[in-house]
Amino acid sequence: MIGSGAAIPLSGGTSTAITYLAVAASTASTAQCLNGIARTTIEAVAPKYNDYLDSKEWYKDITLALDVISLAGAATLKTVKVLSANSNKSIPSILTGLSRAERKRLTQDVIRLNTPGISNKLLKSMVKSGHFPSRYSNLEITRALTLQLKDAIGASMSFAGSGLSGTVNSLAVGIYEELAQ
Amino acid sequence: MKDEEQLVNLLFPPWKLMARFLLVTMLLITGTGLSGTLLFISYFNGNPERLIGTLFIGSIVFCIINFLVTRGVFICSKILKYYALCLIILSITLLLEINSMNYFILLSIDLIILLSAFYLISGKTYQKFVQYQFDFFEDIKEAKRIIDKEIAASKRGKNSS
Repeated sequence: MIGSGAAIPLSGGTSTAITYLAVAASTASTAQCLNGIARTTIEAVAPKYNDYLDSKEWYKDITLALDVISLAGAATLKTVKVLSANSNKSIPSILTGLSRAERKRLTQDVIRLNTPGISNKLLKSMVKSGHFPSRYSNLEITRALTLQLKDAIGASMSFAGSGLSGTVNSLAVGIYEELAQ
Repeated sequence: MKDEEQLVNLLFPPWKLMARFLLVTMLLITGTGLSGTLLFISYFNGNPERLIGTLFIGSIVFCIINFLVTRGVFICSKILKYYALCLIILSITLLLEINSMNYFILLSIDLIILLSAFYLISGKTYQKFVQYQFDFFEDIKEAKRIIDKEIAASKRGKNSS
């Protein structure tokens, strides 16, 4: 949440969507966490209530729903995939740094994305007047990308957790081949 | 290089502040789970439906308030502080209900966690974090206002010509 909020200046508000997704996913994860703590406490003090909860269908449905919502955070993985698909460089080499010209081009693209319809003349004058940066520093770009990767790693942890004991665990992937008769 | 580093650090909260915020969040979640469950078992005759419902609603409210803290809303950090204090007071009343060793251990852990959370929220580092986030989002708002003004002025200039 803090990370995607911090990226707002660089992404021109695009990361706000990630922020709200992160809020939903973190709320679901918090609820799962509280559920786990409650179950542990109940097991130590009054274990019969855990048996009662396990026998209820609604309880299973709620834990399943929470698992699905927290998995939505895994959608941020797509960002990394798009990033590597659209650039000729690998993620590690992007993290190492871009050249001066590449950074300038990237900055101009970001400004154009953030202010649709901006003319070249206006863009140049606004860069000249200091309203927009002429180019983002290597560090700014690297930090923003590192942040996205961290989000992705966090999301993959949710995915792995779900895979071990939750919704994803019950999914199966099938590979088929059509054979000529 | 040093200037660049300082420029970037303006965008991201320093690790110390962020670590303090995350620690407080974890402590409050654990404290809520422990004290909530113990309170329900002791005072509400352990109705599991009510317990789960309250914990889920509590988690939603907690996340919203915590999210607002990351947006630099001071009143939300105060709400969390008094929330921790309320849980401490309620948990202290549970000392009269101790009926087993497990109960005593859990209650002790709960009180230690909640007291730590209360102490950390009251500390300067946590307040610095909220102030940092407040300044950060104020800066974004100001920058947006200036850009919007500039674009509107240039559009007006174009239309008049």
